[in-house]
Amino acid sequence: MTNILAILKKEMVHELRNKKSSLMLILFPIIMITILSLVLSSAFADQSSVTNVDILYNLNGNSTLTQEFMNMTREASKSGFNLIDASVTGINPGNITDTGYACYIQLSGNGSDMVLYENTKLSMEASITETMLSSFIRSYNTQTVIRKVNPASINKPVNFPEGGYVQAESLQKERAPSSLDYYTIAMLTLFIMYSALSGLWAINSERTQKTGNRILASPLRKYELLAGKTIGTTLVTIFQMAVVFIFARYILNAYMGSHMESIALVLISEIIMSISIGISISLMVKNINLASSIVNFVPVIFGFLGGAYFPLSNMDSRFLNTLSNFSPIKWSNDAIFKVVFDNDFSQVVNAVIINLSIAALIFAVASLVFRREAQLK
Amino acid sequence: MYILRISELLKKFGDVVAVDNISLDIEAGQIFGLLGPNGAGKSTAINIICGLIASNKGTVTILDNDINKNRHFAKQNTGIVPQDIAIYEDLTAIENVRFFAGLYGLKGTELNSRAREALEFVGLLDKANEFPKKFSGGMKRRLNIACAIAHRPKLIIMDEPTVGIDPQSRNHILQSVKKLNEMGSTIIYTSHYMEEVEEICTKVAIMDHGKVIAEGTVDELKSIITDTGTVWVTVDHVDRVREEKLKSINGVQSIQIEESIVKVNSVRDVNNLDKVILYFTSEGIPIRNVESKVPDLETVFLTLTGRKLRD
Repeated sequence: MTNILAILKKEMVHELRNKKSSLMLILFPIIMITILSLVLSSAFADQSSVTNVDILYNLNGNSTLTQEFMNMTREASKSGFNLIDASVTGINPGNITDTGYACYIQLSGNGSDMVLYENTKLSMEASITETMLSSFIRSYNTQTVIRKVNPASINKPVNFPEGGYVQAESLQKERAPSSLDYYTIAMLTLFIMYSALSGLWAINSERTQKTGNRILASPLRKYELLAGKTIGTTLVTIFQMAVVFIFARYILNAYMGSHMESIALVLISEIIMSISIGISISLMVKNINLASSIVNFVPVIFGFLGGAYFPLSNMDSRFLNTLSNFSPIKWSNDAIFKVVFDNDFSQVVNAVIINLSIAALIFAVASLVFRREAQLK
Repeated sequence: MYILRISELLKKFGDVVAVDNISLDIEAGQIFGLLGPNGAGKSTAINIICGLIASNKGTVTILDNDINKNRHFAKQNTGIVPQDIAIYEDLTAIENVRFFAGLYGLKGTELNSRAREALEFVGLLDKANEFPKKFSGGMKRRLNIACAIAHRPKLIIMDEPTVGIDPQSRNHILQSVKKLNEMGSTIIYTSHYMEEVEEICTKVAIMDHGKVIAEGTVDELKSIITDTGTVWVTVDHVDRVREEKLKSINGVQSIQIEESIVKVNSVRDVNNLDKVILYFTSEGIPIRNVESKVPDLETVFLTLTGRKLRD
């Protein structure tokens, strides 16, 4: 135990005296949180207004449906939805993506067939139009049934609610993450992955300073060396991330909810995992440059998949969204977001268990490699 | 009492035999010189003694304890001064000594006083709170030693501790080695500087190609070549000297040429000085000086291996 404490203490002194490392793991995340939250604040607004949506339609024949549709277009125009007869423009449904129109609606005369072609470049406007049309069809179908059962009860066209057809709001408007809230969590989990570098250098510095063999020539046992290094580097990283967290929470005023212990649990488990990865890679990969490249490269990929730079859900890619499930940043972020914004703790235990399991597994493999290696050079 | 016994030690790296069945017995209280050129197997042997690498065969015992069976005891009683300076630049001198001594179980006030004592011993107490990055090469070497002695080991292994330092620091280190020995530690001192080994070592083993090729006191080793006489001939135009011709003179064993000096080693009883002088004059090589030398370890090594120690 004394030897573990000796290594732990030395490691902490090294880390805290290393200004470059402190700068990277404290100042850099704070700068990134500030810049990204300012630059991308509009992307995280919880209300969006859409005005002047241009939509093409093509009606064949004359039926109750087409009449009701025309009534609807007049109502919709009051809300900024401009429905234009496609025959005037000569645009085909297949070319809708190359135009400034959000959708192309094709309606058959007998009312049995309504086809909507969406312009993927105007996905938000197209999505709202689709919702509006769904609302219209449901109202129309309801009225048709009522007409059959009790025609007298209906003597006027379909009425639509005033103030628009679609109103998009978060269920808990005041709990939706702002850009600052999002990037505080995203940058913390991203830079924790970079703390693998601290783990890497905890071992590699003994090689470059030629002190590794001197330590191993002492009565210290190898597990004491690894334990001291891991705990020492973990404690320093916890301190560094706590500084970032406190700055974002109390100086920048990021919203972090009221369950700090759960957030801390997820973050600490991620720190332990990252440090273990760094230490393990340094033990398994003897080439310092290669080991360093791996540890630098991994957070970039995990960060992208985990939504560190922007939420991956914004990208319409099922493949990427599936792949993102393999990023520790993703599951750590998800667990924290659910705690902060939904008071949902269901993913905390999963995230912690997965993080610690990965740490234990990779550490076990590296320890076996280290056990066979007598030297640290 | 033997502090270290090595028996039939063998270490191979692939097909290369680094240590080839060496056996050595080192008595307590000695300054034991391990001499040999680069690649002779000195560092490999030391790494095995320190428990850093495993041997393929043979045993090593420290104070009658097999290092493979009681590694903790062996390490606890050993201090290693590595060839490469192994200190932390971002820890102060005293923090360095405290850290390494702490790994040997020292703590609290005892650790502090031993660390200060070790720094005082190497003459760095006044620099205790300074960072080694500001130190000269010699000061770093001295700190390197302090880190190995604070726990007062019975056996101190010094692997080329004077490489690349100024004469003043070298002298300081050599005096320190003697003092440590007087204080009761047994020293294993590796070097390829003959003069250092001759000055401080009580016993010497010469290694070459992984083998111990000679062992004994400096005088005993020199006696191996008592039948050899060396003549140093200082000449102009040393480039005109042809070694083959000199070697063909009756009794000449080996030739060494250093700058303008031609060192001719001959069988002692053969009086061939006149023939040697005649060679130079007949070749038209002007002679500036002729000296008869007593043999040194360098000559011993040359005689035993046919090559210079620093080749």
